[in-house]
Parts: sequence; structure tokens; C-alpha cells
Amino acid sequence: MKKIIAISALSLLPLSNAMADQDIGCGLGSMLFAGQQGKVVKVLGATTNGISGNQTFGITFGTLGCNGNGTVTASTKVATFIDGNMEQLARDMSRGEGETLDTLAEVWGVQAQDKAAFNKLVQTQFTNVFTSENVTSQLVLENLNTLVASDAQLATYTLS
Amino acid sequence: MGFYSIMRGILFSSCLLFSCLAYSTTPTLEIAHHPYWLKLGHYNQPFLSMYESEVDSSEFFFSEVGKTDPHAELLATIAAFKSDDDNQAKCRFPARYNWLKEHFFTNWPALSCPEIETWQQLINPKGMTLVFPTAFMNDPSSMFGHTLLRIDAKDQTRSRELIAFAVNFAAEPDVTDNAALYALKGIIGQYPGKFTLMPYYRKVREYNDLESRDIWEYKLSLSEQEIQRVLLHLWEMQWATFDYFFVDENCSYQLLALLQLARDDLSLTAPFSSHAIPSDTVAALKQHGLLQPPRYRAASGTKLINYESQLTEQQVYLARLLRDGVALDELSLAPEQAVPVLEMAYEWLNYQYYDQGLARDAIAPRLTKLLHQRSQFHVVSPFKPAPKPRVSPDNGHGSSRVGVIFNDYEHTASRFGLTYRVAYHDLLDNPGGFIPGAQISFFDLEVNQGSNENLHLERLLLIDAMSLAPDNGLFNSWSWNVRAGFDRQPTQTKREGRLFLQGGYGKSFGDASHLQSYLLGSSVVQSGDLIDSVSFGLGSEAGVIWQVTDSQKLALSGQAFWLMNEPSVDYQLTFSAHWQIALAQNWGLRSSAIYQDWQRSEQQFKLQLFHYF
Repeated sequence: MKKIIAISALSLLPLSNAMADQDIGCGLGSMLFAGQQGKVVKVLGATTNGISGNQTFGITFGTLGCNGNGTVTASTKVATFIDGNMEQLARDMSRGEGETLDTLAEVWGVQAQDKAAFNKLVQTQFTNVFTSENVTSQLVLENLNTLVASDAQLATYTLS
Repeated sequence: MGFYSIMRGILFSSCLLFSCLAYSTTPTLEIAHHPYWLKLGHYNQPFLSMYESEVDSSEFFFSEVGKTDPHAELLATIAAFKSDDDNQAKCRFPARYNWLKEHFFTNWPALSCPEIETWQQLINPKGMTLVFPTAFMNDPSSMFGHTLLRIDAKDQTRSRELIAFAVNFAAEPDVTDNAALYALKGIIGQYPGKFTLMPYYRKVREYNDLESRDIWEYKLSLSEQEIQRVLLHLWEMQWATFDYFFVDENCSYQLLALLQLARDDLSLTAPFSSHAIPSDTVAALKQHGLLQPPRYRAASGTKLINYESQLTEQQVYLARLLRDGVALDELSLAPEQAVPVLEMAYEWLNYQYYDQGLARDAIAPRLTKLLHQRSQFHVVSPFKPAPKPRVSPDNGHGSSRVGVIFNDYEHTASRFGLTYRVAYHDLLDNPGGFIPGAQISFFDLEVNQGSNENLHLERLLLIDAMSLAPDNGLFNSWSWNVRAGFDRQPTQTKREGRLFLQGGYGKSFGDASHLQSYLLGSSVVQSGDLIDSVSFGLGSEAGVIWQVTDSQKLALSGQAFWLMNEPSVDYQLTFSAHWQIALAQNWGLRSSAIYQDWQRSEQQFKLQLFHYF
């Protein structure tokens, strides 16, 4: 089951050419929306607590980039965060509030005075962000970015 | 050559050694046995003057005998640093380098490792937090919980916590192994343990959301400089793998081994030569004054219980309808009515999806629909967050227990006895800081003084585990128990011993933090002096547990077995009533009345004074 996750995460290839960065994913798989059945970690960790469910993390993970040599771009950070938090983001966005949504705004770089507008936008447009249960994290990011770009107050935060 | 010339030769060559390898005036032998050098190499001392590093990978040592010889490793390290034109050795072991430079080789050049500097800048450390996910609500496998560290960045706020880095120590399984092999190898330490760094949200998702485990976060009282030392050593851990054993050298032990690098004189692993249970390591850090008051992250199951507690029965009923796929339009609710019900329905279905492993094809569209409907109402969530439990794990009782016992029997003379339990918690122990309704006792021993002044074994339970997750409408949980060991039963002449293995499966009802009942179908296999061969019993076990106050628990329990192949008797009964008062965090007084009926009946009164440590 774990191998399937790794493959599905790797298949989350760059968002668009402009946002291309091979660092995206790093083997992070979202549980619900990536098309997996539940209890993945639980099944894997069924007997030996503390067994890592994923072998791709090292001491330098996420700091030197997955290939160990570069910095991590802003859009990669956003993409990686969305990919690792799909389910909680969906829940928070549907309510227009929550810790994971707050963190997304932080990672996105949204300033304090614009956070309320950001939260409101994602809630009102929720069905256009999480369009279906099969939406990929890549598509969620694209949808969000399109919304941000077309919003008068938030357009400056458009990721390129 | 005479003795003196040999001695002079040795002295001369060792002086040469010192002068060519080091400018330090401290003899290398002394440095090699400095506690900090031993901590850097993860050495412990199984026997006097014998050292062995817990690290099992050769890449971690410069010397071929480095695993068992801290002095040889020191000399090889110094030699490597001295002939290190490209800085490779220094940048692999920056904590060793900095410590040696700071204390003994002050004229060494400053460390210059661009890769480490980039790494440090990105982590941007200011603080460190010990993260303690507690056990699963109803899963024996998690048993004692887990511990990991979070590195808190300088620009961290509450809403940036999720993207902080987590330091985890875990075994790295071979992905090609099947489930059974995986379990076996994990238990016997066949997978190498390694430190890894990952975003903290990944661990929150894993423990809080998927496995429904509450998380406690203890900020550590360490300075920025101390944290830098820990991180430099973490960098060195890239070349270290450990044999991972479940109980010894486990995650909690390794985190302590890492954290004690913060200060020269900090020794955290010393008390844990045999086992390190996460809650004990929390206690050890507390003893050293390193823990600040904890924060709490409620698990998905805890949140669900919290939601339900804020709803009326009618609302829960409506949420159940939505959860089961009834359309929102059919319920014709006003917005302020719809929001709590929709949120509850989503959490409920989502919990079931993971807990019961439901098919994604059926559930995911329903979950998405519930969220789509929720997003139509632009009002804030009406739910208050789950309250923090009154007692945090650091204030729970110690995991080992000793006690003195007075036993008064109907047919046999009264006896004094002693009891000792290696670990961890039973349903009558002070519940603060532990998962309600879950019991795991390992190696629970009772010896009594017999009439002829000899000690005799009254009871030795290798394991006595019980998980009573209530089935209460929210959760469709099952309860179970397993018990194995030696105890004594009344016969016509005396109390005779038996070896037994007993297991039960069933349901429990109520609230594990207040009043709970359970009924388990049970079976037993037993053998011993009072039985000709092996005897099998089928029956049931039932009971009621009532937490009267924070410090008092009452329990009634009964077991009845029909014995299938026993010629002399055909049934076996045990009834007991227990009352435990928690006198203090680590003191308890338990009185019990027990009725046993096998080859004859016997009543027993038992008084036990426990100390937990």
C-alpha cells in the first residue's frame, strides 16, 4: 500500500511550467484525496509503534530540497503543504477558518490584514477549489491561484 | 632493554602522539572518557571499563574499533580533523569538532560548512518542543505512546507550528516485507532505526487525524545555543543507524540521547538502562526542569466526542441522517441549525472512514458533498474546541509499581506479601494522565510469606491487557482482554498454582472516565498441580468500573467458566470487588474482596499499598 502512495505522490508533478520544481511532493501523499483507502498509516504501524511510514525523509529533508542541493521556492512550499494537508484544508476551507487554513495563508505569504479576505474567498469559492473528491493537490493549488489572481484585494499574492 | 627505557619509549611516543595530533594539554585518554565525548559517540558502559556505542553503522566512526573504543575513536577523529583540507570530516561531525575546539584545541580554525549553514538558516531554530502522542483509543499496538521533537523556528507563531520541522526516530522497514514479517522484524529489532526530519504537520496528521491519538506538546527549557548543539549533533546522526528494539533503545531513549548533548553536564539516558517508556522520558525531562506546561492537540476521536457533547439528541440524530447520505434539502433546516449538524456529520463519517477502513469510492463523494454544503453557510463554526484534560501525562503515576500486601483468607492463614509490576497501568490505578479504559500490565508479580516462613509465588502475570472502548452510538467499538501467567486457586487442601492463558472479546458501554460496564465472551486454557492435564474453559467475564472522583475508583467484576475436560469439577467462578484510593500522584491504597470457587470456594480480603515510580 505504501508503494502506491509513493507512486501517487510522485505523480503529482509540477503545477505548471511556470511553477515547475522537481522538489514538489517529496513522497508526501495526501490520504483521502490522493485516492487511497483509509487506515494506511494505522495498518502499517499496526504492531511497532514508531515505524516510519515513509522512507524518503532524511535529516536534511525539506531544507536543502529533496535532491539536497537547492533552496525551496515559495510555490513549492505551498504545493507541498497543500499536498500534505488536503483533507484538513478541505475541512477548514469549507468553514472559512481553522489552523491548517491559517498555516496555508502563512505559507502563501498572505499578510495579516488580508487573511480575512483570503479565508472568505476560499470559503465562498470552495466548490471551485475542491471540485470533486478526486481533485489532486496540484489542481487545488491551480484553482486557488486562479481565484487569488482574479480577486482585487488578493491579486498581489498570485504565485508565479 | 630495561623497564625504564621501555617506559621512556612509551612516554616519548605518546608525547609525540599528543604533539603531532593535538595542541591540547589534556591527555587524550582523559578527553576520551569525558562524559560529553561518550555522549557524542552514544557510548554506554555495560561493564566496568568496557564501552560500547549504541550506533551500529560503521560510517559513524573514524576508527575501525570506534564502536567499542572511545579513545581510539577520539584519536582517529582528531587525526581526521587535522588532515581535513576539504573540510569533509569536520562537516560530517561538526558537534565533535566544535566541542573539541571549544574545550581542548582552541587554536583550531572555526567550523566552515556552507551546507550546514544553509540547513541551519532554513530551520532557523529558536526553541524545541517534546511532542508526546498518547496511545490509541482502542489499539494495543501503540501501547505506551510515542515521542518526537519539534524544532520551533524564530518566526514561528501558533499558525506556523504545523510547518515547523519534526525530528523523529523510527525504524525504517523494508518495503518489500509482508505484514507478518514486518511485525516480527519490527519487534525483534531487525529494522535499522534512524533519525529523520519532516514537516510537523505530517506527524499531526498521522497521530491526531488518522490514528486518533491526543498529542501533548511540551516546550523545552533550552537556550538557543543549547539547541544549536543538539542540532549539530542531529546533523551527525545522518551517518548513524541503530538496531531498533521496541522497548530498549527505542524512540524515547534515542531522543533523550540526542537532547542530552544540549549541555555538558546533562545526563538523561542514565536511568534507562533497561527500558524507556515515553511517559517515563517525559518524567525524566521534568525532573531535570526542562519541561514547560504542555499544550494539547485533541485527536479526531476526541473532537468527535467533544462535538457530540455540544449537540442535542435531535441534532445528533440529524447528523446521523446526513452522515448516512440523507440529502440536506430533505431536512429543511435553517442555516444556524444546518451548520453544526453538517460539521458533526462530516467529522463522524470521516472518523468512520478511517477507523473502519471503509471503501473510498463510497465515502469520499459523500464527505466532499458535506463540505460543499457546509461552505454555503458563511457563519463561523459553533463548536468550542475540546477541553484539555485536567491531568497531563507528566502528572500521571510512574509506570513501575511496588507494593505491600495483606491477604486474609477464609480457609488459609493470613499472609503478608510483596508485589512488583514492571509496567504500566491497570484500570484501578490513578487514571490521571492515562488513556481511560485501557490497561496494560507487564510482569505483575506477587509473593507471599507462607506459614512456614518461606516465600511463595502467589501470582505472576506476564501480561494482563484490557481495552474497553465504549460502544456508545458514536463509535462502534469492540472490547477485548488477554491475560497470561500463573496464579493460585482454592482446592480442598490448599491454594494450588496454575498456568493459564485467557482471552475475551465483547462490548463495553458507558463512559470510561465515569461509569463503564463490559461483557466479554471469554475462554481459558490452564494447566497445573490441581489439574491432571490441560483444561479448557469457556465462559464470560463482565464488570462495572466507576470512577467515583478524580482519586477514587470502584470496580466489580465476575468471571464464570464452564470447564470442558475436568473430571472433578465442571465450573470455575471468580467474583471480585475493588476500591482504590489515589493517596498521591505515586501512592495508592487498594482494598479488594474476592470470591473464588473451583474445587472449593474461598473468600479473600486483600489490602495493598502501592508506590509508583
